[in-house]
Amino acid sequence: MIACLWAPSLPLQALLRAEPELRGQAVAILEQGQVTAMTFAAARQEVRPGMTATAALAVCPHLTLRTPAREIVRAAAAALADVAYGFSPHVEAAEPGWIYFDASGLGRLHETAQDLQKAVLAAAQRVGLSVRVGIGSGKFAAKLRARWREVVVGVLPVEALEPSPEAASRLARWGVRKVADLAALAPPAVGRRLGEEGARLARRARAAIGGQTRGDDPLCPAPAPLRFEEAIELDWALYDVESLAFVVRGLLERLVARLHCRALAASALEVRLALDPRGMHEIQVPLRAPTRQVATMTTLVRLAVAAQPPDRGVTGIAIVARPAPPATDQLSLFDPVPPPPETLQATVARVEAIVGPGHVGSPQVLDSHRPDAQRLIPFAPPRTAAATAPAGPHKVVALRWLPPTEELDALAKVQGARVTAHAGPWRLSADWWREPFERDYYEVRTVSGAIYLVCRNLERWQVVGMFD
Amino acid sequence: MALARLRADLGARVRSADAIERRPVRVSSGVAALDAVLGGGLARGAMVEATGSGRASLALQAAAAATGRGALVAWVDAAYGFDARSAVRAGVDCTRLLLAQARGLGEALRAADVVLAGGGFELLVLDRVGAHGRVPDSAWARLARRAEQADACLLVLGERAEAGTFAQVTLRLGHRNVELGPSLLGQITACAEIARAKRRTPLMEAAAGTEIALAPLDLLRRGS
Repeated sequence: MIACLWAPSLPLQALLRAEPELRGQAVAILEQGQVTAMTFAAARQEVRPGMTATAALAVCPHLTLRTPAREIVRAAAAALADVAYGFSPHVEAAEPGWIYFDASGLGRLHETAQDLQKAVLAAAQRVGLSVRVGIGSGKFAAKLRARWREVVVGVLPVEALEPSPEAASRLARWGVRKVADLAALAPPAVGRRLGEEGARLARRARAAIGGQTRGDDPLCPAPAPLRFEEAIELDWALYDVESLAFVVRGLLERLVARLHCRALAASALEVRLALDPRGMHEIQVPLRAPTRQVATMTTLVRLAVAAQPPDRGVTGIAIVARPAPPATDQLSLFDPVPPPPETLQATVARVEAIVGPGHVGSPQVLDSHRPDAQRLIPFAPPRTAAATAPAGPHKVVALRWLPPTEELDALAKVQGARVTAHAGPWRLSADWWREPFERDYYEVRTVSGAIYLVCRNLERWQVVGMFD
Repeated sequence: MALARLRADLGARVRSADAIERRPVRVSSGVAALDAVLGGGLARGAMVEATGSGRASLALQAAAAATGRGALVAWVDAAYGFDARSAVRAGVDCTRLLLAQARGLGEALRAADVVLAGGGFELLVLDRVGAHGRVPDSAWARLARRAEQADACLLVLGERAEAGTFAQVTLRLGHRNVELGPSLLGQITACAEIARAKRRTPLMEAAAGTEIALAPLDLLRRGS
């Protein structure tokens, strides 16, 4: 059992998919100076294929004439293939807009061919494409049903079998007008009169009517591509991040729809900005966990672009998503439910945009004798509770580091009347092999009751911290 | 049989359905005496202000209690004063602690706002000690509303109580009974007093005007 997906007028559909605001309007595709496809609104205004741009505008003054970029047509074709890969791993991408996939074995999921058809149509609609679906015993039978929307193939004209003009005229002279008429003839006999083409046409007709795979073209599946890219060319350059984010959101929505078809999620994004007049600005946006949340990814891309802004206007945007299986968590019944990793990442990215890169994360104590040896590492809380129960809070006095400007310029200030008690010194030395660090530390209590950590480096005194 | 084995394996973590609370409405401060007076701990969805010596220690203990339960804690530091060694010694699970080091009060307020808006954190400590400037009332109102929406406890550490009516409870802390060792400062006892509360519970009334003795605190030994 083979299913065939046909996206009629793929360039037009690709354009409407990339620019959904054009849906419902009179739009026509212009290729090599001629109209090749148009929307229903344009067709109602008497716009026809083959018209020149001038002629089309003469009959429909509000017509939008566009030539879609190759990137968006390629993305639409890839989206069509993704729909098929969502149903079967055996997919053949034939000529542009035509996809075949092996539908055998799908009976457990979709009881009837109509159910499968509805599911494919719904999946195609999710990626922004309008398709026709045909299901048959072989590729050609499926193609006939998709192309001609007929369940009974026998009533179709012989032209549906795509004969050459010579073969078509001879069949017409014989009075063979329908597929069923040709199927009634023996292929060897037709072959003797019409040659190899006649035999092939007769075999196709028999296969299409009789539900036989013999005689039909074999399915040539290709490995599923794992490249997810959506791109758009802009009519004019964009200079601000918010406008870019608006366009990026549309691209991500289309990417996520395609990933959803394949039961995948994005684990990283690569944003390529085409600059005005030429040049490329690339930004990598790693994602903490594979996600399909458009809002989160839009936020992360917006923050990444704001952190590494292009130096010129942007005339085109392409986003490549690195696919990965969606993250699944085994949560505990007894512990607090952690927020989704992508939400946390968006929060951290937003905070980082405020306080600057490198100033957000989990604190980590470094293995050093320097009392201030600490750093921040990326915030990645475990998704599950610790295997062992926590030891519970240990009651210590917290130290608060003070800005290095707070200095005690003389020993007298430490030993003066303001100090009521002191302890120390403790000599700490570290990093002798790199940047020698040697200080004497004191803990002093002032008359106000506050306890400070004071250090002496040579003859220089400094208040470095306060016990709080 | 299987249930008995499961009970033996999981021990006290298995509770009957009616014994499981829907959600804790309080965040433990890590100090039993203070929790008892506050009615179970620091209120979630509200702002609590702490001033005086001992506020950072109290915040670390609350963070240790929260991260020990598996919850996430955020700490917005307005003056680069956070000491990771103190946090580790206090028992904070630093992998569940998000530290944001702001360059001033304005950045700290914006970062706190973003963290609360993002959600997912049970406790947010806004440490504004050492940061210059005054927080406008509109910012307090916004933070209080954000804390309520995020169902998080916003613990503000400051030199003075400034949040006013936007804080549900204002704690005044101080160090008492500093014990002097032979060569080191030994133990100090931190005390807390409820300076102001929006809704006073009977326990708060009883404790009004008196200091709540928190557990003795060990000074962090340098180099340890």
